[in-house]
Amino acid sequence: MTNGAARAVSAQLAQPMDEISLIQAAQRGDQNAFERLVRSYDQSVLRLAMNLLRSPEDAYDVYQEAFLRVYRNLDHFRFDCSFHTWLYRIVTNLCLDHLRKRKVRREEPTVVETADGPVDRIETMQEDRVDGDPQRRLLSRQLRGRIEAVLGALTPRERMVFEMRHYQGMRLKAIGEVLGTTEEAAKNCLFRATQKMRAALGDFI
Amino acid sequence: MNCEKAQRDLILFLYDELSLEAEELLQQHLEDCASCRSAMERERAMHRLFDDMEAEVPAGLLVQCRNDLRSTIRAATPLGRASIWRRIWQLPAALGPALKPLGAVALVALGFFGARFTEFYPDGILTPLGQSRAEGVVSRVRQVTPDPAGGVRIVLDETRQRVLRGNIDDNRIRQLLFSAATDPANPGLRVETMEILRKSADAEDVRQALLHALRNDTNAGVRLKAIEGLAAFAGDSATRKVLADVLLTDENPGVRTRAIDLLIQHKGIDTIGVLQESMRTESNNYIRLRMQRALREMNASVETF
Repeated sequence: MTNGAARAVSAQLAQPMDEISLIQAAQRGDQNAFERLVRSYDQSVLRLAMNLLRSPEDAYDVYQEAFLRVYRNLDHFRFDCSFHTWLYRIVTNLCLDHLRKRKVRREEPTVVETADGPVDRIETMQEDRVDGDPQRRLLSRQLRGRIEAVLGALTPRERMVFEMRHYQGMRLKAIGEVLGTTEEAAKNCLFRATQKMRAALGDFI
Repeated sequence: MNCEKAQRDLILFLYDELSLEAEELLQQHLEDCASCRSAMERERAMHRLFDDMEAEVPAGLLVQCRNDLRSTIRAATPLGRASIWRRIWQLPAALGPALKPLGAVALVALGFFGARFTEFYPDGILTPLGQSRAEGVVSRVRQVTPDPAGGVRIVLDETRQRVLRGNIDDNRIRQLLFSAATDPANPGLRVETMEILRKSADAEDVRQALLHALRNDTNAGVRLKAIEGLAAFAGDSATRKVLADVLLTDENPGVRTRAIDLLIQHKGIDTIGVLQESMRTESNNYIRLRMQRALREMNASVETF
């Protein structure tokens, strides 16, 4: 057995049987099976896109484009990796593209012009879990602003690793597979991200 | 272990990515090092800060994403079919230069046998010269060439009709019925076939055919016949899964209403869950009222939706 064939067999064995049947049915043209496949993953895909891009419009675009790509290319899926890994490669590539485009055109300013004059968007952010104490409110607002800024300052790759590890709970090995790199490289990315965040938030923790 | 290594490892420790041996070494170091213990507390505090920063998916966004994706996909080429034809079309190229002639012959043969054995569409069906339809022969024009005598030379492909009679218990009859049940060109034939199959839904393979039709048939009349055939099996878990899918995704209100009727024959937490999920997306007022009534009868919370 060649390495590729052995990898395909072991990847297939690692997938739940139901999912393999669903994928095969969808490959034969069963749209119901495709929809069930989408529903197994779409909540976490949307959550990842929303967390990374912090914009419902962009998260919507990533969701649509990712699952359409899956739909168009499902007959090329040969079980040489898990479906989860394959899907997340598509999703993370789309999110990385969005993040890189933002880097190029720079982050939008927090102060925007409105009909009522300039408004700082950080000032208008929703306050959660904060009591009525004005000092605590101010602290929380500053903290949120700082966290948003530090997340925006990470490289798209560092941001991706952090999001997948912290919010999606994915193992570093799986993150490496999704990003087409090693577990060690994903680990180093996580270290760099953590160090940057520690440095930026030092006075809050 | 030194402090530099410990502070690197505690990041992995908090993410449960440290091996047991490394974790043991870290714990030993932390017992002796106040500075690293305090670093660990700061790291935990930072985790909590980020936990609070998780973005929330706005209400309704997931449903909108699902609905729009479904519409786009339904408007697109059916999954699988295009790719099969694309692969057949690419067959000569895939075979390589030496085998290209073989691939071309294969395509010609495919066209010939395909025309002989696939269904005939009404426009292409002819009654051969000198024969009537009653004789049971249908023909399709294969080739037309000018005749040297000034006329025309026509080559026909002919298919002779046969009449088979038998009981549905006969495997050959049953296989023909299954084939008719999925004939894409003739919804009327599929409806009639469902009507016959539904009377034998006790048999597992017939039930599977009904479930397949209910899930996949593009014609609502066929799906309604299929769901009627499944009425006696509303307690069967495989049937209930399909009924739940139908309630959530079928575009025909009549089919969705019937799915509710069958689902609520067996009241339970799974039925409540399906109805509540459906309430989030259902736009038909009559169906919403039916589901609300059913949920109240099952003492299910109305506020959840």
